[in-house]
Amino acid sequence: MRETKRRLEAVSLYDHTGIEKHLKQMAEKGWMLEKITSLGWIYRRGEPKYGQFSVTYYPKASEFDPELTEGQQLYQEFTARSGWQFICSSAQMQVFYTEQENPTPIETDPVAQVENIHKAAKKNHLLPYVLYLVIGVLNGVLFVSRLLGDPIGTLASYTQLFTGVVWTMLLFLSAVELVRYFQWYRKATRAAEQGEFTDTPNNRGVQMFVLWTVTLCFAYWIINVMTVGSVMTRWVSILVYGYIIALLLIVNGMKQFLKRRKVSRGTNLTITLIVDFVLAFAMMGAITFGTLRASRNGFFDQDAETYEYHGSTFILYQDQLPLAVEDLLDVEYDGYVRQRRSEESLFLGMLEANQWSRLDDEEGRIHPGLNYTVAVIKAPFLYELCKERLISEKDESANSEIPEGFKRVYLNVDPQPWGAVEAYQLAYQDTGALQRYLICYEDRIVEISFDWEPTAEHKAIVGEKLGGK
Amino acid sequence: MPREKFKTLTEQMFYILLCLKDECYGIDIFDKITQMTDGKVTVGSGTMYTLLEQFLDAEMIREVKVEGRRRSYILTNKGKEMLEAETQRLRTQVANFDAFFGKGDAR
Repeated sequence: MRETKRRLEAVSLYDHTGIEKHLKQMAEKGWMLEKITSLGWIYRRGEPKYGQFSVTYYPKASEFDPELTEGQQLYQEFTARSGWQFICSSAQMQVFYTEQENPTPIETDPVAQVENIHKAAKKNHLLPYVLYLVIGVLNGVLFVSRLLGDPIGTLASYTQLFTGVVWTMLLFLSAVELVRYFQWYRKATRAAEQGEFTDTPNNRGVQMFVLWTVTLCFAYWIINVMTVGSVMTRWVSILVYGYIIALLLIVNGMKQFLKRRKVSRGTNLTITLIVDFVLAFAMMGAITFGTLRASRNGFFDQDAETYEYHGSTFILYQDQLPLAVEDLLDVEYDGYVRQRRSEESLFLGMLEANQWSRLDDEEGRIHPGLNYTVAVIKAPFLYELCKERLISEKDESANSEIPEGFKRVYLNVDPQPWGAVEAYQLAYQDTGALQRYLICYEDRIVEISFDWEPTAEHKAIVGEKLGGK
Repeated sequence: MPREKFKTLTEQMFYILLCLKDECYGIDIFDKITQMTDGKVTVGSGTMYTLLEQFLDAEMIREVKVEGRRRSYILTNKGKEMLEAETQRLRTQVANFDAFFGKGDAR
């Protein structure tokens, strides 16, 4: 059996009453808190104990202190005098334990207690929430603007959905924590004037909800990266997670190392911050630069053939396409490049396919090309939004800067040959129709453009291959 | 600060200051208060530490001996004035009570 246990505790560090209760429960089960580290709280196995815990705050302390400050030692001498055993401390927070029957509490003055909690909260415990709130709002704005700019691409991207949900959750958690803290602070300040103590708010429910949602989303994201993600996505994900973990470990290691060397609080803080900053930029730069380089050198498409044209290297994609020119026309040409890009989330699936003749074969350019995108709408409530979006991307009816008679518009055409529900053809009001269509099927919308005029037979084949029947 | 600092003194503040009429080690104040009040007033150890710090900052007491962690304190003139003001306030309260109910008729 293991003698120690490391737990990542979901607690608000200002919630001393919640922490005291939790530590008491752990001790009753035979797990006594030993120390609090940045990588979890460590408990030691022993006999069940039924004493009391007291969590107090020493606002002048810092997590960069090499050892307990003189003031903290004096504080502990006082607490020891009244029968409270010091267990451990973490920055401003200090944990004490006693087995006395009716111990004199460490804090007997509610005003002083609220002041200490508030100073420590302002200095440290509320900072992460303020940070999440700011980054969460920025990310929210970014996500909404992406959603408005490219709803289909955004909703079809499992990565964007994942980061969107995670930041929404952190935003929610921070808002709850901050609002509840300040509500408590106001109430506790007033009660303290009357000599009364007020329990700190316990947000365990919200914390567990956020933790589980984020964990589930992360699992969903990992599964997607592993199953449908491209080689590049996989590499970049591994690197970015490696980067975050390495950064956390190095910065924490640096802080601990300097603490062990008894370096002063200020020096430690400065060095750790500089290392953090430099490393964060250097490593991110290395990842970005490396990925770009690797991508240019064809690292992510190692099996792919390449060709040179006007001094640049191009990849000769030979992806499997659900519909190819050869399905429609009697063409025999081995110089086609076939590229397929797809993305899929819970809400939407998106497939983009292009077929064209390789650039270095100037004679091959007479061979017709084909390109199309298929948006599979898994969440029916998004259908109308996607349709309107796809129409308005190309259709200029509502654009007042272009004079009537010269606009590019979608004309309603017969959906029947396509086997579809609705069909539109893009046309200039002055010069006439283009071979570009928007075809609506029950659960998907196809946007397709031909280098020739499709016959009824071609349309039927499109319906059969892309219509999802 | 929510409480107008030290305008009135709480019972705990009052007794800590009172104990420091003569020089006294911080750690010994606990026993002194217990003796003085027959155990009716107890000050928590954290609260004792915080209040001593605050009294030092407000120059109501000063440190006399600093022997490592052992420190002794004594009341300053300012502290003495505040203690007297508080006592006067309490006397006035008692006097008002007596005038209203008549001395000794309280029960």
